[in-house]
This record gives sequence, C-alpha cells and structure tokens, in this order.
Amino acid sequence: MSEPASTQFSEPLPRRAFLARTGQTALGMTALGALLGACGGSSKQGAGGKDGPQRTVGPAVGTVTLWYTIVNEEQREYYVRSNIEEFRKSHPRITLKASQKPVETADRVTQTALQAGSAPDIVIASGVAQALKYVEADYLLELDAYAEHYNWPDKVLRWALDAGRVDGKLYSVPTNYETIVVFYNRSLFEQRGWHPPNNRAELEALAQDAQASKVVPFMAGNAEWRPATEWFVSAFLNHGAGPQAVYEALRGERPWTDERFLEAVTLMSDWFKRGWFGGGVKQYFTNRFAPQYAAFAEGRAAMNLEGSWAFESIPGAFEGQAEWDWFPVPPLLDGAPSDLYSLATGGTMSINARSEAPDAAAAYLDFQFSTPQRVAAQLAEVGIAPPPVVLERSDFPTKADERVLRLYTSLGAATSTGTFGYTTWTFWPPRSNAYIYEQMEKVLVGDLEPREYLEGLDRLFRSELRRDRVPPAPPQRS
Amino acid sequence: MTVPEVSGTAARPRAQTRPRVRASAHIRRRRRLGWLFLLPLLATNGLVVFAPSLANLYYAFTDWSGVGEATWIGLENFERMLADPEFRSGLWHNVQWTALFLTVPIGLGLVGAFLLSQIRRFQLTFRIIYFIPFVMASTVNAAIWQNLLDPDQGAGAELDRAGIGLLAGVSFFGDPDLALISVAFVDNWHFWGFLVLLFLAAMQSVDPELYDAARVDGAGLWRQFWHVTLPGIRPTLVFAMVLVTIWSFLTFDYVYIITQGGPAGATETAATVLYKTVFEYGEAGYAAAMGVGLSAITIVLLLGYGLLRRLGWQI
Repeated sequence: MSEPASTQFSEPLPRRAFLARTGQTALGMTALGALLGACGGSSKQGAGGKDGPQRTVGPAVGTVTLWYTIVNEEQREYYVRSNIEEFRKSHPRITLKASQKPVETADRVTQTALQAGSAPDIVIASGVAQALKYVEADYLLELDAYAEHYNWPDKVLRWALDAGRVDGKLYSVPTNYETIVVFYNRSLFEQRGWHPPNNRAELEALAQDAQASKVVPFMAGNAEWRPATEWFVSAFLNHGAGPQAVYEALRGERPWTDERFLEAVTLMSDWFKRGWFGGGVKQYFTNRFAPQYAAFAEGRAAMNLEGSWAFESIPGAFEGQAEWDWFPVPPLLDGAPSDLYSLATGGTMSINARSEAPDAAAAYLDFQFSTPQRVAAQLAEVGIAPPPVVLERSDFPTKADERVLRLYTSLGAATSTGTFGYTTWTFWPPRSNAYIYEQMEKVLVGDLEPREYLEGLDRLFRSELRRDRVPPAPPQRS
Repeated sequence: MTVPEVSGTAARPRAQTRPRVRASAHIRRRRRLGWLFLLPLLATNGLVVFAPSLANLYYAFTDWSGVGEATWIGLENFERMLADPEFRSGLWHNVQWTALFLTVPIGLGLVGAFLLSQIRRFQLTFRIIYFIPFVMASTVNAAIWQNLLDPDQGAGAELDRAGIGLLAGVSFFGDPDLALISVAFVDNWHFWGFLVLLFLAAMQSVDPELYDAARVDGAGLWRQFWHVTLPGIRPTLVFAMVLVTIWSFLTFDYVYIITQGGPAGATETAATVLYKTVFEYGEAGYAAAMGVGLSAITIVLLLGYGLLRRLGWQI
C-alpha cells in the first residue's frame, strides 16, 4: 500500500554508519551496539535532514506513526475521537497508527527511539529547544516544501512558523500555544469594588488593598512544580522590560544586565518579599496547586498570574462558589506595551528524517492547521489548547465559554499584529531556562541580588548562544 | 594363577584415577550448569549495567547533548565539575546528609534494636511497626510528611488552632535553613526501621553467655550494650555505616519528590544536580562525568573498607 514517496530523497548509508554496522555484525555485537545506541549512540540518521536535497511533495499515502502525550482522560478520549479518528476518516489512503506516551518521559523515549532508528514518523518534542537538538543531529526533515504546498503561511500564525525555523529552514511546528494572563475572582472583585487594573499603579493599589483586607493578592506556589517561578519571571521581563528588549537579548544584541531587566527583576523580587505572591516567600515554596485554587475560589486570594492552561483547573475549582474571569497582564514598567501576550508553545511536531511516508506525515500536520472549527471545538469542550491557527469567533461552537473564546481570539489578534512576548520555557536555551527559575529563588530569599542574578544569566546565556543552543525567536513586527 | 604384584599396584592408580576423572568431569558439568543458570543474569547485567557504564565512561570525556554526535573533549568535563559551584554545593549537602544519617538513624537503629532484644512479648509486633515505613513507597511517605508539615494545613497549624503556637508558621520545606534537615528527617523516618531489623538480627547472634557474664560482673544495661552488644555486632555496624555513606552520596528520591532541590538550592544534592544536568540542561556528557565522580567516591569507600579488613580490622 505504501508508495515509496520518499525514495527519491533517500541517501546511501553513510560511510561511518556502514563501517559501524559491518564491524558490529562481524563481532556479533549487534545487540550491544543497539543498546549503546539506545544509551546515546552517536550515529547519525542523515536521511535528508538538515543538509538534505530540496524536497518535492509526493502523494500523501502510506502508514504514519504518531506518539501523543495527553494525560487527562477526558481530553485523551476527545482527542482520539476528534483528531485521530477524524483524520483517518478524511484521509482513507493513509494509515495512522497512534499511541500514547507518558508526558514526563516522552522526550527521553523519543530521543532514544531517534538514536535507535525506531522513532515514529511524526516526531514530538516538549518545545523548540528540544526540537533544536534533533535538528542539530539531523533527525528532522525540512518542512518548507510542505509549508508551501499546503499554504501554511496563510493558515498558521506567522510567529509559530518563525519559531520552528533553524538557519531559515522550517523543521518544527507548535502543537499548541498558550499565554500568561491574570485570572481573577470576579465575585470578590465585585464585592470589594475592585476593577481589573490597566497599569502598574492600579495593580499595586489593588494588591495593597487586598493585602490590607487579609486577602492574598496573587495565589502562587511552586511546591509541586518548581519551574512555576518562571511564569512570573516571564511576565515581569516581557511586561516590564518590554518584548523588544527581550527579543534583542535573545538575539545577543542586548545584555541581560540591561537596566530595564534589572528594574523588572527587582520589581518582581519586591512584590514577592511584600508577600503578594502566595502569602510570602517561604509559603510560596510550600504552596501546592489544589489548596491554592481552593483559596482563590473562596476569595482568600484575589488573582492568579498563570498560563492559559489554567482553563482546565479554574472552572472546576470555582464551580458553585464564585465567578472568575481574566485580564491581560498590564504594563509593569513605563514603555511596556499594553494588551501584550507572551507566547508559549506546549510542544512541537516535526517529521522524522527517516520516515518512509513523509508526505503522509505532512498531511497529518496540515490536518492540524486546516480544521479551525475542530480545534476550536476541542478547546471549548475539553480545554485542549489549540495549534497556532487563526481562530475567529465564528469557529467556536455556540456553547463555548465566552472567557476562553475571548482569550484565544484576543491572543490571535494581538499576535498577528506582530507584538508578543517570549516565555522563558519556550524561547530560552535549556541551561539559561533552568537558571531563570532556580536562581530566582535565591533572589527571592535574599541570597542573590537582582544584579548578580542577571550577570549570571548573561554569562550563561552567552555561552549557550555561542554553542547555538538558543531556540529561534520570532521577531517583533510592529 | 598368581596375580602379579604389579597388577595390584597398577590397578590401584586406575581405581583412584577413575573416580577423580569422573569427579572432575562432574564438577566441570556442575560448573557449566552453574554458569548456565547465571548466564541470563550476567547477560542482563551486561546489557543494563556493564554496557551503559562503559558508554557512560566514554561520554564523560565528551561534549554531548544526549542526541547526535559526541565530541571528545578529554578531561574538560571533570575540570568543569571540580569548579562547578552547583555540583560542589550538591556534594556539600551530601556530606551533611551523610553526617546526619551516620548519627541519627544509626543511633536510633541501635537503641531500637537493643531495646527490642530485651523483650520477648510483642517483639514481632514492634518489628513490623518499625519496618512498615521502609516498605512504603517513597512517594507515599513523602506525601504524608508534606501534609503533616504543611505550614497552613499540617500539624503545626492544627496545634496553633488548639492554642499551641510552637510550630505556627514554620515552613519546614520552604525555609532554606530547615529544608535539608526536614527532607532528611522524612528519609530517616522511612529508613531507621530497616536498621533496627538489621541490628536486631546481628544482636541475636551474640552469645547470651557474654550477657550472663556481664550481669554477674554487675554490668547494667548500658555497660552490656557498650561492652558486649557493640563489639558483638561491629562487622554489621561498620557494614551498615559503609552502606549508609554510599547511599547518602547517591540520595535522590526524597529530595526530588519533596523539594526538587529547592528552595533556592537548599536541598540540591549531587544526584539531583546530575539528573537536571542531563534531563533539563541537555548536557549528557557533563552529567556522565558527574556520574563517574560519584562512582569514584563509592569505589574509594569500598576500597578503604576492603583494605581495612585485609589489614585485620574486625569489621
């Protein structure tokens, strides 16, 4: 059934791989070799990846394998029904074999499978930084021909395509996208006569008022997810220093020790030390999500600075207790734009350079971008974050929650103008990313000054920049 | 017919040789069978321990992200490791952890085992009670203590509501000054019951006549413990201390479950730094060097222990 669509791109076995394989066979060590490969062998797949010839798109037929990582049972069932089965129905000439992998180990399993040559046709990664490692190792196929063939620039948000480019070539596309906003207890706000703030002064006044009336201004805690601190760092860098400054720093054109970043980090540290996040720094380190959501719904906390993934948790926590809503993070320093959304991708999808049916795999990727009503429905009905497609109000089902609908239409509209922020877990290289939240804890407890923190970040970031570890960041266009 | 003398002598060696031949063939067959039984285990260990260890040793000398080509960089990773403040801080926490574990659970284990050895009724019940935390999953133990020591909903908060404010607002896992000792306490609680059983088994092999003699000499419980029990279980005690030291340098699970190395790096250990280096930072080559460093510490400890035994130390 499978048409050899990719044969025209296949290359002869590289000399090194040939020697390695024949040597192993001669020694009767194929099993050991496979194990060493699984433990991190260094053989390249080299089948038309980074340096491969220009691809032409063939007929979309054959067998495509896919791993997916949806944890929530309700979402998983919905995803299988609305995504996998719908694709099978609409593409009868393609056999889609999908299996679920634990989200915690998906990167490790994929990495091992890629090295062992047994990875699926669709390669998933936890983010562009992870995908970048695969590109460097020649494991991924260049997607530009498919992007042109399927007209992705008209379907996919431009920043999303830019984020998947390495040296100008497209290798990955985000599976979904999210942003950071401020959720608030609307019932509490109405009761106290508070209004969503539009700038730092209003936000500070609100937080002071809340604290004076024994309400924690922001629910927050990182006991269960230590990287949660980077949600705040991302917000303060982008909504304080501004996205252009962040973009320039990500390009290496502006040091992280710049006064604007210093001001932003100092502001965050001050607010934490005032007890505005989670009730205090020590409490922040032990606060867990469920009690925090309960405190938020009961009106013991007023706001929650979190990613749009909280749409999964907040409605349940508030049900029968209070009303909730959200507003965009206001500008925190002078010069930062209002109505700004920082972008985050939940993961990426690429095509395995060794895929025997890359054209069919590309058809699956295109399916994600060509069905806005389907992705809007899965967002509205079970909260699955959508792929980066332009979503109109008319794409959503009539029963969609207005607050969810408003966020994604606002986000799409704001980002399509070319102004958006950069979340640290999406656009920072791995070591700098970990530094962002781990060392920020030291700033919060007073072991490190904000200036020292940024000096350390700058040194680390520049070393990763020199080693080409920085993921591609889409430019500002406004 | 006379049987020549020689035939008798000739027959003797034949008679002696045959069983020996048979015996050695039998031993060889038994040995082969033994190896055959061992083979699956050896093959498995070769595949899951020996080969990855060799691979790890190789990658310790490379710059490798975990995928793709590894670049040979000689000793660079080891030089970096020695100067890495994060790794050194982790190792220093391991030293503190080791000091804690060589005193608190060992002491508790000895006292617990000695007291248990003095009773007959309910001994089994107490042994089971002490041992239960050891067989519980670390995630369960950790969750129990996270709840118990939660500053808002734990025992401290409950006591505060009852008018006893001793632990009010104490953030055991959130205060950088308390976090390491609090996590170690949880691990201690899970571990000390194992030591009780280990020491109790050793104490039961001490000759009871020695206790009788000590009692006749007027020795009380403490002197019996000090002069009879401790020397009697010394090999077990030293072996337990070596094991505790090795495990302390590899400690990972409770730290990772409860604090993930936080707050502000206060509970970071060498193993958590290693884990993050490979899975978060994507620096598998450097992490491999850390693994080699930790293995070297273990090997030195074991060699020291073996050397002391060879020198005649009764441990």
